[in-house]
Amino acid sequence: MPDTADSALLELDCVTKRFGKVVVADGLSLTVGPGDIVGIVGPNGAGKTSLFGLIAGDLEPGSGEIRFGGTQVTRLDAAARCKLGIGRTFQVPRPFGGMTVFENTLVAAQQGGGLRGRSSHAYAAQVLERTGLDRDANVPAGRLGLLQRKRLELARALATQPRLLLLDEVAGGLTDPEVAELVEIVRATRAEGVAVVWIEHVVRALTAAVERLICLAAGKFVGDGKPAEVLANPAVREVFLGAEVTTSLAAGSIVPGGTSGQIPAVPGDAPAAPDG
Amino acid sequence: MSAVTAAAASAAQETTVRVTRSRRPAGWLVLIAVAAIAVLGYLPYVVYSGTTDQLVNVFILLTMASMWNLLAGYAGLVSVGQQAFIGLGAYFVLIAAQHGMNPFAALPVAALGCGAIGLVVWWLVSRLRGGYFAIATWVVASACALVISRFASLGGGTGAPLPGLSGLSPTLLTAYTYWIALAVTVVTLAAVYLIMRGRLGLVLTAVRDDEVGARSIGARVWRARQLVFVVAAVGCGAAGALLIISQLNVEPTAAFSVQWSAEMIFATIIGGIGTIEGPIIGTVVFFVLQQTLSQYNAWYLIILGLVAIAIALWAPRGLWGLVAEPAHVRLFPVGYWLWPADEPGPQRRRLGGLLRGKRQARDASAAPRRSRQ
Repeated sequence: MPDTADSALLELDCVTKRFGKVVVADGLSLTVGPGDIVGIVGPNGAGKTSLFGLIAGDLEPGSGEIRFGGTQVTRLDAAARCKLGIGRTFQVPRPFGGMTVFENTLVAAQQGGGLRGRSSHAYAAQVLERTGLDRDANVPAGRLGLLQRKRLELARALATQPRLLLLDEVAGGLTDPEVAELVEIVRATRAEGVAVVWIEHVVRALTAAVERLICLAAGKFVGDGKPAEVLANPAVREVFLGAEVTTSLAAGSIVPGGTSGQIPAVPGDAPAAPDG
Repeated sequence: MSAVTAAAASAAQETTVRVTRSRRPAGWLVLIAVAAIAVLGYLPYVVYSGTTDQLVNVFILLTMASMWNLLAGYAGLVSVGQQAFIGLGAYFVLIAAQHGMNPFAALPVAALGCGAIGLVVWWLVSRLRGGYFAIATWVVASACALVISRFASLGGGTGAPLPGLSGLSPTLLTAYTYWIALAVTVVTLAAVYLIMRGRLGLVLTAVRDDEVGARSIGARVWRARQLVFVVAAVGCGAAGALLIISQLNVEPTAAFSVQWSAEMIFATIIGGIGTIEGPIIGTVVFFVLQQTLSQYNAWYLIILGLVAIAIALWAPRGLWGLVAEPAHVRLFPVGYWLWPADEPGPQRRRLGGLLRGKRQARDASAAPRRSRQ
């Protein structure tokens, strides 16, 4: 994690966002360096997807500043931020259903990626190959199954040539081998120097890929550091595991808050719960 | 830019991917289009003027419906105020003719004038969405009608005849009007096709399918919408200019009537919204229904309404979607087809290769097909 402002790729400075009485971001400050890979966990309704909305430009913060690559982007819209290099996937895939898979990535390569003509064709095709969608290139995106839709989300975000990739629960609802494939794609992307911020309920997928984990609860960061340390943090265990255990791990073998200092191994086995 | 961009650029040079604009060879579609235009252009020599007059109305509605399809079908702008530009187009021709300009020459001027007005109207309505946008456009159209009817020189509320065409014989006037209407329609359809085939077309199709998704991949949705709104203003302005030329007079309540919006919406919806072909099919169906049912008065409107309801319920993609989707037919190849490295791919050929092309398409028909419309 870089500590000087010059080397930071993404900086959030006291970002606050309220919907009526509900605070989804409560003075959030965060720095992500180039090539960092950061995981974000938190209970349902903690404000994880809203955080992505704020970073990607779908939501405007009530107060605070967001900088990307040294540029002030707080008032820029989503399209402008995408052109600057922020690519995102949506938790519930948003494919362009009437267009083919290739056309989906092509429009991303042309708009967000700024490519034209043949180089846009070549790059869109290359992204499909990397994400394992090349066999489905000419299939209408509306006919894809869940795994392929998740892949298309990733492919479309990659086609915009991001410097920062925001992944919103790309592993949710997938089987173990499918999750492993996605983790591989994310790792390969990161190896190319793309910074990744990844929201995930499937904690095992996260711990397999990330070097830094942040826990978000009720619009505040309650833990930030190495995945093992964060998951062992009592405050994290209380907000994250407490909520998770009562909802999705009730039938599991672990008793929450029982032992301290032990890295909970079970959350990874939890079925992915959709974010509220 | 970044290292990623450089990597992408080098990758683009390394890999040669084969991309064509349609799965099957589409050159014969050009021949069909040219033949259709030639036949339609020859009609004034062989049919009575009653028929060409009727066809002028078909062309006017087809122009309007294509524009409304671009607005609502692709850009998500459900306007019920396009009659603003129809009326203004007609009155711009009237003003030009009153100042001694030939009405035919005034048509493109009127259309471009409507484009300029469209830019101003866009500034007024662009912040509104959905139903609010629809009502706002309607209000703008009504306001235009009220302002125009205040000018005594333009005939006030009762309208005015179009000067400047009395020198032509009726036969020649009918033929000229018909040819101009045909030209406007061909230019409109060609413009829609070229827009949808280019970068903007891909963006508009993405906006049609998912607006939030389109923003997230860097598409400047607002700019795309602005362009479509201005293009639609130009097209509807040309349609309005055709209207006054074909009727030789103009009256504000008729020119600015919301009936125009009803007709262009009907033609687009029953034909197939969000497809270039839809408005063409819809316009033809609309006029066939009108011709066969007009003697039944009230029943005519009731049947039109029933047809619209039936299509909306059972064929939401319109008649064209009903026919084209199972048969995989495209009259306007605007999509992209990525050829896998292990497939022979398309061959560049002219007429001589048609048979080979058919065989190739049949061989590969087991693979899923594209369905961008």
